[in-house]
Amino acid sequence: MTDPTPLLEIRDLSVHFARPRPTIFHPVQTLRAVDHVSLTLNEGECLSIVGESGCGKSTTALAVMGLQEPTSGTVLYRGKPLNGPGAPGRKDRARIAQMVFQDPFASLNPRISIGRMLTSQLSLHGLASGSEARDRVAEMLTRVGLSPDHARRFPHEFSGGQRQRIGIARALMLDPRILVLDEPLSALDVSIQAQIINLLMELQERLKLSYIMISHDLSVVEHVSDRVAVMYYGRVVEEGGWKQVFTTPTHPYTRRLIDSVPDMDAVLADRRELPSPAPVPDGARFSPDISTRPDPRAVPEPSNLVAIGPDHRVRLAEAP
Amino acid sequence: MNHGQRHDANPDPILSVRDLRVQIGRKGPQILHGVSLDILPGETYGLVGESGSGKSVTGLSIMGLLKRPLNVSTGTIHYQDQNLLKLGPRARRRLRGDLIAMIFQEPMTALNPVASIGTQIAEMFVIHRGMDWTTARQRAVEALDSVQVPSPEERARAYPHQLSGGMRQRVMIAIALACRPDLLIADEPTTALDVTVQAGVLKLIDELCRAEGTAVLLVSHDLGVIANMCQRVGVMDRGRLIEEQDTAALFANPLHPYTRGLLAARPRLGSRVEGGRKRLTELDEIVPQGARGHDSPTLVTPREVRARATGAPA
Repeated sequence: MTDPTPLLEIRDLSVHFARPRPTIFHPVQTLRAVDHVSLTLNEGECLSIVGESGCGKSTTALAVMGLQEPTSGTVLYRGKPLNGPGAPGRKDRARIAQMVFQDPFASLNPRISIGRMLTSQLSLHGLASGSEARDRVAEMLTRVGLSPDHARRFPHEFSGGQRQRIGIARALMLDPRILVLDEPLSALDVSIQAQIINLLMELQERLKLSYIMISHDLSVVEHVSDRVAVMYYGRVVEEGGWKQVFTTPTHPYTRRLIDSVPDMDAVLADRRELPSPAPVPDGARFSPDISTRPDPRAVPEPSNLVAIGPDHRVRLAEAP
Repeated sequence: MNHGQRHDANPDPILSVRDLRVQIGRKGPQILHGVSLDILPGETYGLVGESGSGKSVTGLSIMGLLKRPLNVSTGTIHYQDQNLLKLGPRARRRLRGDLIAMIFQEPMTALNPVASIGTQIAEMFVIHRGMDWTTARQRAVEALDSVQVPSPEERARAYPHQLSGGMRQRVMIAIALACRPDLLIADEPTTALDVTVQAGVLKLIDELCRAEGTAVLLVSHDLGVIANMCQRVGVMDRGRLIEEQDTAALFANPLHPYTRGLLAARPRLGSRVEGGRKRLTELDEIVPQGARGHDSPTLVTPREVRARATGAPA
């Protein structure tokens, strides 16, 4: 929070969808997929967004990428808006942020060789062509742990882990400052996951990249993140430095999430203790109430993200 | 969720698999290279491994659900003094769903999209118990209630697409446990579910099977799930069972380098507070290079079984 202009700032972002209605005579219902989310990503950091499916974490990522038009709110890159009037075009955006997708089997074009896929970006952006482009592709493939002659091959010739490396190489070709990682590990085997985590951490350090990682795997999130935001039904319910969120999980939903992780140490040390929450102001009530399922169509109760410690905020209901 | 140790000495296994070999076609590559394991009455046995290790094929072989060109080339699967592999298709079908039942990973593809939930559960009672449909439907509602589906009467009339993933998996469990089987094979039952939903579904499987004394063969790639659910664990790699131990012993003292690699490769909750943001140990650093090449097709490369726990049948 010391840096006056963070690398990326998501300010009051909302994405609402109109729900299909049986007939036009029924009232329009809105689904609040993302509701007033504000997050910041500092240079060189990894911001993780966690939550269960349908909580709006992927929609938030798509809005950052410009793949989903927000209903309201802005995404600022170095203080300049990425959406609305005066926003950079798609080609400029592509050089700011790139995305690594979940499924390395579905996100590569099966009919194009790896080399052609990677060089096409360079020529499209007029960055390099011919042998220079080939050299840059070879360099990139080596950087992600593949060999330069893999450029001649096609996606089906690679294993899942290798494909995810290709996905990372593709995302890095234009030298973006931000990588949005949407569940980058969930399609991979345990042993391959470790390799990709190591690769991502190494690249982050060497290329000074910033990550926004969408994940439901809390062990991985704890391991690699600098900041963590927990989303529940479209809203951020707890947010802060990784240490604050994982050592003093405070919102009941964060606590439930952490408590649900099946832990292999549990068998050795009887039962893992859930860390105690940080103290909250007297009489405060957490919002939303997680004992019942919130209605995603209803207008949520008034609530605020309240600071409860250095670099640690939770959502509390507004006092009536 | 943990059961702790088994207390009885060594009861007769309800299912014993011996030297099970599965092949693609007649002359094709082998998928399973002689798997042997015993499942004791009422225990939860975990089968863990990566994709392609043969853990699902083992489960499908026991169910008799291998699809061509996969076929069992040699080996025996004994259940109640009969070799399942020698039974005809009709006898197999009578057993399947009745005494040996299965839960699949993806409940949406495993359920029939054009039959109501109630019908699909009631079917079990009609086929295996000879009930009439009216009674069977009433029993189906009770079964839904036992897997903690809220307002079971209403849900019995619903179709699979109207339910959430967690609810669908509960319906699968209701179908699988309808006839009170001796053995439940759960193939990655919670992989498609959210972590909070997963906890509930695992707890349900654990409670119901413990109450009925049903043995469970839990196939999973998630060591955390295995640690929380199972009394004994078998680790598979490329068609071989490479290690088998009591759960506590396996996690405290893994013998095979591959198992050690698997355990080390996962970050654990809370480990960063103590150890910082370190590189994770990659499997190749523990299992000698060359023994696991990621470029080569990994299914059939033979490898020495280096260590087996004492007491496990060879």
